[in-house]
Amino acid sequence: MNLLRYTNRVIFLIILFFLALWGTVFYFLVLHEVMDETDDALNNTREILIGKVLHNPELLHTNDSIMQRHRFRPITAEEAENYRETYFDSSVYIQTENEFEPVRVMKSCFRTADGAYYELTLMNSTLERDDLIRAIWWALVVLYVVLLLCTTLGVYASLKRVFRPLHRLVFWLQQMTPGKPVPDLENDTSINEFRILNDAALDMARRAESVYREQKQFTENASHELQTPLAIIRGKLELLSESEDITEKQLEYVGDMFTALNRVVQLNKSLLLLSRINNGQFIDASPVNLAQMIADILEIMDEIYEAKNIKTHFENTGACSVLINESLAHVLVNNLLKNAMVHTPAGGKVEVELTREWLVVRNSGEVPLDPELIFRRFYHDRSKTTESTGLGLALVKSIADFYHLPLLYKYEGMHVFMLKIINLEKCGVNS
Amino acid sequence: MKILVVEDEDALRDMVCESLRKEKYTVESAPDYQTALSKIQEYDYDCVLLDVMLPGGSGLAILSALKRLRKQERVIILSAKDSVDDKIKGLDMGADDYLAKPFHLAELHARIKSLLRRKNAQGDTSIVLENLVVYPDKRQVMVGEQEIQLNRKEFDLLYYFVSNPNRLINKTSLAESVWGDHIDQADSLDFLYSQVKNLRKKLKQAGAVPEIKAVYGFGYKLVV
Repeated sequence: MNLLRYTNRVIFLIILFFLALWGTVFYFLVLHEVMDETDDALNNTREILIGKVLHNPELLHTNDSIMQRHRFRPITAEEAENYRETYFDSSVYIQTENEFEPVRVMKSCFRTADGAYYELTLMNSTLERDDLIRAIWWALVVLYVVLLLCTTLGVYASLKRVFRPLHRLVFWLQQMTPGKPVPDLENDTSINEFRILNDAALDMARRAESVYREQKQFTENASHELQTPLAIIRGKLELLSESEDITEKQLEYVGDMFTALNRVVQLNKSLLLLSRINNGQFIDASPVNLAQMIADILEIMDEIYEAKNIKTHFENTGACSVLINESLAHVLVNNLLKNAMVHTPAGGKVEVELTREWLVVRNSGEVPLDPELIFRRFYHDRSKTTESTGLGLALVKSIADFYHLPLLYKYEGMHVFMLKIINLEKCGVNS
Repeated sequence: MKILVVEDEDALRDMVCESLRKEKYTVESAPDYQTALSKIQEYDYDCVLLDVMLPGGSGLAILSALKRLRKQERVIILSAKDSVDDKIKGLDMGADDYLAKPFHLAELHARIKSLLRRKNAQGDTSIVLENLVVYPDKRQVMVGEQEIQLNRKEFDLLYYFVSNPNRLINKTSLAESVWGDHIDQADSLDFLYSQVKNLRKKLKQAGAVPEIKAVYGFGYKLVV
């Protein structure tokens, strides 16, 4: 739920509740006032009527008027002694209308000049009163709904206006990708907090971008700078190995140094390549026959890992060239296959399948790997003595990311690496 | 054979020069753009080893100067950049070969030899070591009058050996020259062992005089 809708809902619920509360209280107050008014009217009529009756006892035998009825009933002194005035609602049958009509009844007693006690029952039609209450009720309901609607719409409109800079900022933030230059932020606002937020976001983005760029450049530069000293060490080791008075034991040490140095050189090369890929330095694309490339590399792998006696199998149902940078394609395929060969136990299997949609590499292995970790730089299986630089799959991942190709790992009795190549532009079908 | 080494890193330059002198080349060196430029204008060399990034100017500019002067020097670019673009650019501008730092000296020697052989041979580019004759262009190997059949990798190995006769070659250098990028698993060079073993067997059976000797823990040496 977005901020606007959320805020709006909260405000709506609050208004809904308090307006309803206010309406109810108001309604009952008015109701009470109207009731009081009716009873007061009855009371006044009683005063007048009793005053008239006391002057003119003849009237004791009348009991009617159009809107108001009254009745006198003689009562005993004892009854009069404990008499209490009462008001209540009732209804009366009206013959002319042939229906019951709601009335307010007042019962009270009085004593005439000759000492007789009478009970006066006064009835007043409450038709008008009920109409009034009904009118008030409807007015309240309509008012409630209209008020609710108006406030909600008003609040919505003004919140939308208030939050506009925030929405623009959020949109701007979403546009940002690491490595791309920070886009301009046009988000003028008179609201202080948003202005501060704008400035902070812009500042942070620019700083992050520059750190990112420096970091990327750093790896590349560092790797470059290492090339020359590595070349010197390598060359001097070669010269040392050629010296006439070197002993066999010393030569063995030099050999070990060579091997170790070679590893550093490979590591450095991979790091350089990795940062080059991440810096987007491989842009040229040309049609590459993946099937041919896989077959060639697989042949070499067979040779290199001959001692492990791994059964390799390549099935090609894709048979088409894709548009990709050739060096990257080579690094990609080479590292995927190499990874499979290196980690397959002796006598195991490596299966490669190329379809129009996927490049799938399966290799024997007992224990599933953690798909979260395997594509990270320098991730090694610590339980094995490792021969790899730990960068092979990271390279594969970087290239896949560079071309926006999904790269998946799963375990199905074998390790399965799947690269979705459908997004690469196909160019022509090869036989 | 005269070789000019253009390289700004003193240690690297001295090392390359020393290694070349051991092979009986006449070696001169230049540490920067200006020196290199005046040297190529004044003298003729058989081969120039050219670093791309030099103080005072680009190695590629020296390359174009050489072409402008219509000089016959063979040029090998030595670059720390190892980028395909750089390589293509250098080769397009007329360089004969490209070697990325850090290179093996044995590899450098093999490249230089191959270039000079092609430069100086009038049609005949064969390498002759006693009764062993290697024809790199035809990928053919003769021992005396008898041709021996080698597979692709065995030939590549032998070619590297005959380019570096009597030189102790480290196994990583050998593997890298033949298998290139495909081996970066530093420890597992077992495959090299079996390939060299086959090669040795074939040479021995044919009665070749040069012999590949294994040096424990280090590599091999073609003894002539």
